[in-house]
Amino acid sequence: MFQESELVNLALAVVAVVLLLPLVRREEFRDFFLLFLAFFLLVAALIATVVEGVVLPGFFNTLEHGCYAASGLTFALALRKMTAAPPEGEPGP
Amino acid sequence: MSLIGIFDLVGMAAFSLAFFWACRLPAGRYGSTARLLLCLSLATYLLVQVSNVLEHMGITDHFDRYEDYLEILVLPIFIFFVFSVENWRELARRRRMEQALQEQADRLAVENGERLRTEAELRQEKERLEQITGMMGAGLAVISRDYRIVWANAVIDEIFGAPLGKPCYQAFNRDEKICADCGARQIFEGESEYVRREVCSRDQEGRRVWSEIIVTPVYDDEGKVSAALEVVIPISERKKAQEEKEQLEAQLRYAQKMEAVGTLAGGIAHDFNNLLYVILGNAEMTALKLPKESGLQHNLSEILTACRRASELVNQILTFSRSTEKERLPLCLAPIIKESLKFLRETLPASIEIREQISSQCGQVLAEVGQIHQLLVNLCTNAAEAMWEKGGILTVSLEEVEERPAANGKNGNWLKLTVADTGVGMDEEVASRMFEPYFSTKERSKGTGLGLATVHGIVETHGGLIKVASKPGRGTRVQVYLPLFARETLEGGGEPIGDEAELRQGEARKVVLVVDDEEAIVRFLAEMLAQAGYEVDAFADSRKAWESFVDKPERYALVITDQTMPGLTGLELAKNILLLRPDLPVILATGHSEETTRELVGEIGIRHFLKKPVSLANLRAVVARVLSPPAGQRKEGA
Repeated sequence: MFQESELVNLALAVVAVVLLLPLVRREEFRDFFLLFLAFFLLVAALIATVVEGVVLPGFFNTLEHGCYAASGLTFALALRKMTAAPPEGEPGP
Repeated sequence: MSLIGIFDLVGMAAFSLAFFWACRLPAGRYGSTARLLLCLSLATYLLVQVSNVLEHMGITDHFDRYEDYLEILVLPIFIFFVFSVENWRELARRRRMEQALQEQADRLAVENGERLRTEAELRQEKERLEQITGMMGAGLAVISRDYRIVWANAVIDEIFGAPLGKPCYQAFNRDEKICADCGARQIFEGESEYVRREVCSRDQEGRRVWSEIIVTPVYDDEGKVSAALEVVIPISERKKAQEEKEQLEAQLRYAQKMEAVGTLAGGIAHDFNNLLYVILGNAEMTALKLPKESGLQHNLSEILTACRRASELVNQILTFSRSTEKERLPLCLAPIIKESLKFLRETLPASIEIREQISSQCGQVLAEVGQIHQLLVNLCTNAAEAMWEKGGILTVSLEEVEERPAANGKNGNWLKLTVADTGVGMDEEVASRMFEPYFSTKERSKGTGLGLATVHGIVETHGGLIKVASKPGRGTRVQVYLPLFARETLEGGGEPIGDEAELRQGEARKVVLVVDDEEAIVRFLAEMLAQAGYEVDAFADSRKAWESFVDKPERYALVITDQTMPGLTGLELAKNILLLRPDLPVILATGHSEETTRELVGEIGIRHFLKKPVSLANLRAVVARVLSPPAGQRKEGA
């Protein structure tokens, strides 16, 4: 079975996706694609957390942890890019 | 370790790195709040991952209960992060600007490349144009409306020396105001659309340069005259050639005139000599007939002196008008120079004193008489002109020397003719150019500049050398070295004079044939020879004389004939006579004939050649000598 906190998390994730998904399409957020990808992987992990309580608990548990790991790597990569290449005229990190 | 454990470890490491990079995000770019929120969300997940790892490793599951709450925090924090980024728009704008700038830079780079290529092409085009215009041989200049040269090709630069920016009248004419007949002005003022004429301007060194200029307008986009294009064709060489041609033509005219004068002088001299011959002969015969103590002897002596002087003058005129005698012969220059100086004395002003230092013992040179006369007269005339205003001393000396007159000259015997004056002298530059043809310091009307060039040419053709020494205000000395032909000096050289040849009365009854177209001369000769005891057949017509001779060729012992006669000339008559009687002595007398030379006379077989007028004594001596049989024959006859 799934817990209440997991459902709250899923609800929040759905809200977050609804809020953020339109932004991803906008031109000014194009450079932050990796950041959003990392966030969506987190959401995916939350979904897997909820689903594992219903079906295939082993598989979805593994998927949940895999998504966390992938999300962490994507965050690291996105932030490395954001700090490594500041626009011209601005000081670097 | 299980796959989930590995994922947790990787996730922990990845979130650690992400947290690390998030802490290093530039706050000025994303805002410090955003950075804080991001760090918080990542820190939360880092904690979740750490908790998972600890649980999997079996260390503790104490944190598992907080894990769900932590995860609940993460999503709102991340959303807040996204919306708290203050300058998303600014970033986007900046990115767009960067892109636009990059595109602009790329476009500029392309345009710059095209511009550079165009510039290179233009430069090449300009160089090619300058090369072509430079090779044209004509100068090209564009003159603006304020009369400044705004463009010029290499030819203009070469002649006038970098005139760009200068006013045309200053660059081309070294003048300070617009020229009166300025072609550019005519173009600008619409007086003409095409100007062409010859102008004399000054080059960068101030020398006169002749050019033919063509001026045409340059129009702007509106069709107005914005500038004038001036084409400058240098024609100095052509002008010089034209001047030289004119000078040569003048020289030719002068030579033709001199030739005509010579011919005229020769003709006059012939008649004049005949007259003098009659006067001289009759005066001498009268003097012989009169008693020595007679008071008329003095008057006759004066007549004879005047006749001889007149004869010398005629000879001088003939000498200077002579043009056919070109053969070079061994000559003793002393008498020729003395004769020339006599003539010069008559023509130079009295303020110029002539001093002669002429050695009569000098050897001979192989020379042409006329050219030696010309050489001396040209040198002396030049020297005299240097003293014309103030007078002075003209010294002419002739001596034989043994030296090496020049570094490249041969060592040996030379005849040195020196002409020195005390005139104005010359500086080094003038002295170095004095033998150049057409170089003259005199006004154009007073000299052709050919006199000394002629001297130089004569000396060169005679294998000689010239040395010049001159100082301004001190005078000039010209030394002419001519190579000696032989060591022998002339001895005597004149005609045999009276007393040495006595007429032999024993041979007196011989018959002499006298022929001359002047009856007075015929009468005088007949009388003179009759007095000497000869029988004379005298004729004023050469054809009648020939007929008489043909009738009785053995009758005559001597023939005396004039050269210039109508019908048969003296030479023709002599030839005919000598065909019949090769042993017969013939004396040819002439006043002047260019056809008659001693060589020709000798070839025909004529025994003696006499130049009129001949003195009585001289004639008698010549007749006696010609009629005297050679020593061997006299001995046999005795």
